[in-house]
Amino acid sequence: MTAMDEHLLEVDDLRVEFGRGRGTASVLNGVSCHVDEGETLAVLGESGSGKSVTAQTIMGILDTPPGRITGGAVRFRGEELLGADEERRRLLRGESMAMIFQDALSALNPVYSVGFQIAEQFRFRRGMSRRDAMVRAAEMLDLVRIPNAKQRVKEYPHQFSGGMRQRAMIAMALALDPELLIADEPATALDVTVQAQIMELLDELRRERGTGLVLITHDLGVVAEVADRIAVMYAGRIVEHADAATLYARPGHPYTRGLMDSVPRVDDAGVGGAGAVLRPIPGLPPSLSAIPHGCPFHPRCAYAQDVCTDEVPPLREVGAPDHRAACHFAEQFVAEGPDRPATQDVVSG
Amino acid sequence: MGRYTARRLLQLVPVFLGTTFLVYFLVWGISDDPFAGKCGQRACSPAYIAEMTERYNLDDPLVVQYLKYLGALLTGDFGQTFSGTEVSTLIADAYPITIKLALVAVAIEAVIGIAAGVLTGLRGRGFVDNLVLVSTLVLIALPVFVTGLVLRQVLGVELGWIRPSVPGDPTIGQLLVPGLVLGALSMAYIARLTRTSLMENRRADFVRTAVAKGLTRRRVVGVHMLRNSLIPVVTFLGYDVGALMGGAILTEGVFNIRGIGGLVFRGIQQQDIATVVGIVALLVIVFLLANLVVDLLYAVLDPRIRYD
Amino acid sequence: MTDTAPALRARGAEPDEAAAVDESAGRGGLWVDGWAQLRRRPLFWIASTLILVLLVMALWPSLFTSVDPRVADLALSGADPSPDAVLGRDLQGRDIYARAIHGAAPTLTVGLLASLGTVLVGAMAGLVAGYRGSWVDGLVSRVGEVFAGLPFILGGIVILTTFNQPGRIVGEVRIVTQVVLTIVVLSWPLAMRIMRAAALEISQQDYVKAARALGAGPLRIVGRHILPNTLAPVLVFATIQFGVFIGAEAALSFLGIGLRDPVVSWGVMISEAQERVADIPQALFFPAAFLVVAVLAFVMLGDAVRDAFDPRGR
Repeated sequence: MTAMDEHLLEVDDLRVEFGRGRGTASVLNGVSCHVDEGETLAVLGESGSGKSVTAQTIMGILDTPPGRITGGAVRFRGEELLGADEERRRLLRGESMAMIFQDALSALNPVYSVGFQIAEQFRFRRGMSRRDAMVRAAEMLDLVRIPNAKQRVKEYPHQFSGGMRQRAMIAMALALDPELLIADEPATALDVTVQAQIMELLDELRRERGTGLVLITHDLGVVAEVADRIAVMYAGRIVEHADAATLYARPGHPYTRGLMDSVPRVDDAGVGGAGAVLRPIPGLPPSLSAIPHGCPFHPRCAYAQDVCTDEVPPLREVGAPDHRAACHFAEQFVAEGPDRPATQDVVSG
Repeated sequence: MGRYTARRLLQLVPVFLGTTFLVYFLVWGISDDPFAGKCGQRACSPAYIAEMTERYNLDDPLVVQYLKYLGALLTGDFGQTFSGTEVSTLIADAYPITIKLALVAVAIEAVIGIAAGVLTGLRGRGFVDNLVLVSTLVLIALPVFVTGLVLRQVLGVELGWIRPSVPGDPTIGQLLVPGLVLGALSMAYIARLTRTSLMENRRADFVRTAVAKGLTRRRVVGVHMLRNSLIPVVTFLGYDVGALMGGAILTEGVFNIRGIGGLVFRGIQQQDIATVVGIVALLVIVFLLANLVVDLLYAVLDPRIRYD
Repeated sequence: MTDTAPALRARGAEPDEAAAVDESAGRGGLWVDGWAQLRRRPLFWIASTLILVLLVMALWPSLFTSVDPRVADLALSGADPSPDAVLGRDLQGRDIYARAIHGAAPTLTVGLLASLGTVLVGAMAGLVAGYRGSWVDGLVSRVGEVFAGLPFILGGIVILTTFNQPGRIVGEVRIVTQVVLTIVVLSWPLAMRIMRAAALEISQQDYVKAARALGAGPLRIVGRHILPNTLAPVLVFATIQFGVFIGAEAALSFLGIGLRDPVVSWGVMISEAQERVADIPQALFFPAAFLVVAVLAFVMLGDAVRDAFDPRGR
């Protein structure tokens, strides 16, 4: 039934709008990407770029209204999900695909114990007794390395530290051993050291279990260490896609370059050295109800030409296989590499 | 929790003293001649005055009178009325009826209010939502005695479905209409509170998590949304039990129910100090304890609340 | 190595995706937004219109009727509605319509003065309690509990019968003042709690702490930070209480201890009508209708204002 070349998850030209009438916001404008088993796809972008909406649409938990899916397809192992009935989608959730949310404090129900919330899945999806399910829940907490899991399983979310809560969230997502895991900013709200631990844990569990992982983040630093491939989103579009090494070596979109330039890097951390100057991207992301004509990034782009205001650049192959970028001048940027001093004049000028 | 309870109980003491003294002072201390009108048209006989002065310690300063009264009260002695009836007997006869009425009212408002709130909170905007919103507005605007008088007139006198005047020892069935009248206002509040609370929780992150776990809609709503949303509703109901037991004077008056309301009303008009202060003391204690119980209950329902 | 991390975190500080859309909601924005919301609500317009009509009725009753509400004609006792007296006549043969129109002024006066008084006393107490904290807070809260512990009607009966023996005839101004003061004395703890909670919450905010650290005095902090932020909830409270107090006045009058003859108020009319409700239903029904509509108007207005300024309930 399942053909060999089918992806675990394939998103094809997904379009989502919010609201109606004049205030309609086009949140997703043709997003396409895929994930295979055991692979990590990082989705990178600023706030409002459509990362979370993509994740929610895949999971089938987008609030409609105000959201509205206006086109495209989401296929899980070749099965089209957007047209599927709600019961089928529900059975896939938790069992085949699961999600880790950003803020574990609000994503966990405050009035039930952590164990109860994990055990729910064993009780209602596996038909286990309350007691057996609690034992399994404690095992899950143990799996995500929560010390004293047997005692802590009875505690409430507010009694956990931030990092522990996020671990519990991961345990909950992995309870039914899903094939696809979507992590929406799983470590953003945490301290840096805890952030690293959480990412490490996720990466390890993914490798052990062969789970496909979609990692949504705005944090280049997080992405660099764990992602196999990276999709950069801007204003509801994927503007660049490549494997991690290629993207870092030869970004093909000025927005990707901008993201890199606005993050300090180890190799230019000389104190007071010229290279230590950060160059943030000027301006703000566009309002999704008034996306600029042409290339949506042109108002903020230091290299914008006339063509950029007129034509939307398609996402196309630029050089390396599977390296795609949506910029009229992508080839030039790829050829240039992320050689920052060379672009500095243009950016500041 | 234990220490919190103890501290709250200690805080009740000044409130209890303040309220009872206030009422004692108002009923007894302000009037120039406590015996005015007590003995019909004639002035009271010196013997009667002497006896009453002795019974109520009227020769002492007001504060001493109050303290003597309070001392007796703490040993369970509510004192006697002017005519010599034990106040505790009066209360024991009347209070069960008021409690029954209050419980009927709370039951009615809980069932109807929560049902209406859940119905609109889950469905969202639409005809039913507007209908419930408008009905709650009207219920809030209707004074208890107007609802009571109209229902008594229509259901009792014209249609003959109920007895316009409730008998001395009423059954639950006979208290249904008075209970509805008494609980109508709170019913509206409960419907609104439930609705608002559900609306807030409907978009909560933890509800989304529950959906993402693949739980059935029924379980998401029943276990994750309702439980969280009903916490404020349950606490409101708790406060209301305390409040209604003291607030039934109008309803009892309209339906001629022989509860605590009528007793205190007559007591005030006859300046029967022992009855009035005794009942006020009782009502205040019940009200304050009900609030305390509700606060403690809140901690049980919502594990985030910690008292220490 | 380690110094990269804080910068990464700082960039990620934008909380969520939707928040990036609108950043222009300052304090002025709140009032402007609230008004824009309010204007679109039919409930608000209905309520405002009703209140306006009631106000005109209270100020210029002669616009609505030229009949003297106190003229009694026992021969016409309990007359049905007719062109002579549109809503019929009460037990004493007085024109119900004229009485209901003239009942607006005392009723609204009590409502207005009582809600003003409650808000002033309560807000002052709450402000002091919430801002000063410690033993002041404890004292004010306990005193508030003493008055809040008395059930409203019970407290009203005790106070009003103490100062007016039943059956005694008292002047118009005196009785109105007494009713207003009674309501204020029994209701101020409600306003106190709202104000206290708001003052407590706001004085914990970082910007208030910052202002204090910069040397702003208590008057400035209260005036600049706390009062403006508590205005909306207190206004909503006052509006809704206006309606509630109209009902309270009627309840006290109904018991025969509030306003009374010669003052005409809807509560007085209902009180007079209850004995003979079977024979003369119009004497009960029409003043009750006026009363309900008036209470409804203020509750609706308060509701609309709250919804407009507090987006959570939408």
